[in-house]
Amino acid sequence: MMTNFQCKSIPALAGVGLKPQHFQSILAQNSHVSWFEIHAENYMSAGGPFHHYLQLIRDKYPLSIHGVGLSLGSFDGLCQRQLDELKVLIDRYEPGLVSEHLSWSRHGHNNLNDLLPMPYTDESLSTFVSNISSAQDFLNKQILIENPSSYFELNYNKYSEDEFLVAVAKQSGCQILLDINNVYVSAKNHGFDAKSYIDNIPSSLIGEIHLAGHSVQSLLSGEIRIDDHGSMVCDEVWALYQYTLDKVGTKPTLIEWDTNVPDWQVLSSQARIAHQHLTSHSQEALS
Amino acid sequence: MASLNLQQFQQLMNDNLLSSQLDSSSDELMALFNNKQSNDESNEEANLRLAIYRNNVIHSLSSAMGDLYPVVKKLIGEGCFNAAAIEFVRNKPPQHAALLHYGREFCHFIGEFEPCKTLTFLPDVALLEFEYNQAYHSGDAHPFSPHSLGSVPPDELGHVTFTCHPSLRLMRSQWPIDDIWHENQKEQPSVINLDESNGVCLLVYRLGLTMQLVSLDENCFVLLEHLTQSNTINQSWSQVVEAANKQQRQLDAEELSGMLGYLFSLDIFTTFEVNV
Repeated sequence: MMTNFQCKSIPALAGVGLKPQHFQSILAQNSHVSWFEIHAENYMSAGGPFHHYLQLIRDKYPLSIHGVGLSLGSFDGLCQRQLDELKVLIDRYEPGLVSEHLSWSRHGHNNLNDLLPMPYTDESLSTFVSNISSAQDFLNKQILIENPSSYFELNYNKYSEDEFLVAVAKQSGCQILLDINNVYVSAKNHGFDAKSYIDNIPSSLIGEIHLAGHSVQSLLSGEIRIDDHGSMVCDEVWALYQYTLDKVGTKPTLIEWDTNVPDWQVLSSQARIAHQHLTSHSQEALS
Repeated sequence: MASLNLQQFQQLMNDNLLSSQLDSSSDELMALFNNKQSNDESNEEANLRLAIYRNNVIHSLSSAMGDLYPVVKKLIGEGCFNAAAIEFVRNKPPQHAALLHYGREFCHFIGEFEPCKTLTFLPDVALLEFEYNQAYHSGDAHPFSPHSLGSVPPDELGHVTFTCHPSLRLMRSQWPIDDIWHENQKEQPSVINLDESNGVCLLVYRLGLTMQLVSLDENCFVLLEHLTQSNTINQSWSQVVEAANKQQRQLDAEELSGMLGYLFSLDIFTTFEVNV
């Protein structure tokens, strides 16, 4: 079937992560949501309702494809089957952006289904640069790499995460997907300054921003923040988002909500808040 | 300060995230954590930080099993299901990042899982759920119109073969797994007396966006089994006759056209070819 893919590139406006429970609502009404993002692995199938609705939504909106399983940090390189299936999806839907993570999830043939932390060493740096370069060559597309949230740091890290992320991007030619919630969560969990992390990422490298909710759990006498994408974006993260926009200018911004997924109205109202941040920032820049 | 190369670190993480218990290798891993506290709590804290990842891995994968096998979960209860799913996930972690095709071996596993061994129908119910989900995500195709067979000369009709919809799955069970499946979609399932039930021959497929679960009689099922293997109508029918004779089932030669008509009405065929 030939499709007229309009508005392919992702605008510097608010998008949301696409969930099957919202397919009908999205198609039934207009909202402040300007684009959608899918998790690549959820669409690595031949057909059926998921593809039917994704196609209808793609006909109306720009789409971003966000992988969670490429495991760019694996010491033994990339899984060709995973790359092949990602390529099929990219060819089928012509996304405006393709992104992955600064993490690993596969060891040998085992896929651990989580975004696992990396040591920030020279060996890890060359592993990422090699794997990202291979992926970009194979996909014939620049990709974006997202900073993870993490619950431990390694004591033999040579680089801080922001230094490492920027080095990976510069050496591989990829862009950065800056997840503000992840910066905030990791900053709280490890005791670094979230604003200086953001200050250290050059604006020209940032192609997209993510926002999400997280939870707080007690950890002995202290607390730890868990990036569970299961609630509204908290006030502190909204404030850090505004700080980021002031620093780097407007960027395509995605609201992620993956667990305890709410009604469409609740999710799209989060997008409306991001939309207001972006449009008021643009107006201020003009005045 | 001790450090590991990337391969050693990822091996250690893999082993620790999938193991049921922490051991000396966990101590080796946790010794690499950047502990901000130098008090007695640092070991316990490292343990809790590692536990977040251990829990994420096992919980996300066992939840995926629960989403894939809701009827099995309902039949054996959440506690028993979670125990089975966690043991399965630890023993058979996904071999591919896309979980859409993960978990088929759970059908066999649940039959061997000690607390469920007496529920001998469980593996077939699980397989029905797995195939149902596979059919849901399988490729798209339009059913053919039986009228188009009108172009085939009558003496060549017996040489026709069919292509089936990519979602079509055939299943045979000695248990009434379709009734079990249907009842357990309800809030309050009725009791099914397994002693008074017969086996079933089932088709699972997707028609457009809608899933179909259809029960066929044995003769019609055998006919379809052979048609799905690219046998002609004539070849498939002779297999039906042979099977019916062997199992002393009643079969009338005139039943063929009725069976074909019924199969056509299900919209499971997408193309046909005349093989002369």
